[in-house]
Amino acid sequence: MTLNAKCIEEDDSCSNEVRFERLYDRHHARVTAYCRRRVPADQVEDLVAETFMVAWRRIDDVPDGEGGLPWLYRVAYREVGHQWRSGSRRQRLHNKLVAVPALASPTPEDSAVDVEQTRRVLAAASRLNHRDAEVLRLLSWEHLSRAEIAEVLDIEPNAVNQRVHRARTNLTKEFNRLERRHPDRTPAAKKGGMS
Amino acid sequence: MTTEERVMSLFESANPVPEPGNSAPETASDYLATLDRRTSTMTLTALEPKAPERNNSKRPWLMAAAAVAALALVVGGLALLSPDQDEERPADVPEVTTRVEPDPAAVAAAFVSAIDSHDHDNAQLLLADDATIQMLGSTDVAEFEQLLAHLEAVDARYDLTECTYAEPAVTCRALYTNAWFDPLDEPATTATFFVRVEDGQVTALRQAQKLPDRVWLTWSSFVRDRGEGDWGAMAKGHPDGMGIIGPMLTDESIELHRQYTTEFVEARSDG
Repeated sequence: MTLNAKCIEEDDSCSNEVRFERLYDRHHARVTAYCRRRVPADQVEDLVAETFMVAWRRIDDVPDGEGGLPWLYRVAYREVGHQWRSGSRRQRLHNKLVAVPALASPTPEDSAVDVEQTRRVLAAASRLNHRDAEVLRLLSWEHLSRAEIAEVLDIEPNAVNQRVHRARTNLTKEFNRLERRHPDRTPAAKKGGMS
Repeated sequence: MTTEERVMSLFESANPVPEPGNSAPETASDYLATLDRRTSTMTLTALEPKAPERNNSKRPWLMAAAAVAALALVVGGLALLSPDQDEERPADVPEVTTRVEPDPAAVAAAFVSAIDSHDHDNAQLLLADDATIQMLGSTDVAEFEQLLAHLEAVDARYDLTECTYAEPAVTCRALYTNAWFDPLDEPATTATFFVRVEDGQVTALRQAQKLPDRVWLTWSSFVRDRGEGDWGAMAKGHPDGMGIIGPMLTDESIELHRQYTTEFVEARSDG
C-alpha cells in the first residue's frame, strides 16, 4: 500500500509531501487562473511557483480541503502586490494596458458594442484602486463567497459587503465617466447604449 | 437591468480565464524537484528549513522573531506618522484634528524634492511633520492623491493607493510594507490620512493603528539594551524609545536586528 493510499483523510497522519501534492494537484489550475487574470502571461509561471513555494514552506499552516484555496489566493494576492510594488508605477500601468486587450479579445459572435463595452468596463476596473478591483475579481471571476473573500483579503466579513458595494459603485461611476468621454461610435450604440 | 447590474455583468463576462481547466502542467513532485533551482525573493528563507519540519518547535519561534524584527524595523516610520500609538482606539477614528493653514508651499517643495532624490528619511520626516500634513491638507483632492502616488512610486515600502471618496471627505490609507516580509505577514504598520474639505475649511487628520504588543516588546527591549551609537541616539530621541528608523534600513542593520531578535527570543525561552 502506498503512502498516498494510506493517507486517505487529510489529517496529521499525512506526510508533508502528500499534503502538498494534494494541495498542488487540487488547486494548481485555479491558482494559475487567478494569476493569469492579474498579471501578464510571462509572469504567471513565476507567480504560481512563488505561491506554491510559500505553501510548501508553510504547509503546516495551510488548511486542509477546500480551505486551502482561499489560503493560496491570499498568498498569491500578496505576491501580486509585491510584484506591483517592485516595479515602477509606469511599468505597472504599462502591464495593465498590455493585459487589458489580451483579456478582452473578442470572439466572432461578440457584437461591436459588447466588445467596446467590455473593453470599457475593464478600463474602468483598471482605474479603481487595486483593493476595490481585487474584491470585484474575487467575486465575479473567482466566484468566491463573501466569507472566502474576507479570508483572502484578511478583512472582516462585514467589511466585504461594504467593500463590494463601494467597488461596484466606483466601477459604475468610472464606466459612466469613460462612456461620457468616449461615447460609442458604432451604429448599434447610437441606437441603444446603456440605460 | 440597472447600469450597475449591466456593468457587473460585463465585468463578469470579461473574465479572461473563465474556465481554469483541470490539468496541471507539471506534477507536484516535478514542482518540488525544481524548488532548488528557483530563486526566492524572500530574505527570510535562510532562516527556514528547506522543507517544513512539523516537530521543530523552536524554529517557528525564530521565524516569528524574524518577522517581528522586520515589523519593528518600520516602527519608526509609524512613530513618525503616529504621535501617540500607545492609546488603543477604534479603527478609522481620527486621533488628531488640525486646522490647516494655507500656503505650506515650502514644505511641499521640500517633500517632493526629498522623494525625487530618494531621500526617504527626510521625506518621512517631512511627512510626519505637521506642516506637511497641513500641506497635504491644503492641496486639492487630485493633488493629494497624486502626491501619495508619487511617494508610492519611488519607495516600495509604501502602498498608498487606497483613497476613498465620500464627499466631502477624502480618506487615504498609507500602508507600510517591507520587501523582506513573508507574504502572509501583515503589513507592518498602517497609517491613515484623512483630509476633509468643507465650507472652504480644510482639515487634516491622521491616525495610525496600534501595533501588536509583541512588536513593541521587541523594539523597546532592543533600544533599551543597545542605547548607544546611532540606534541609541534614535532611542534617546523619543521618550518611548522611538526614533527615525530610516537609517536602519540597510543590510547590516537588518542583520543586526535579526541577530538581536534571535538572542532576545532565545534568552526569553531559556528564562
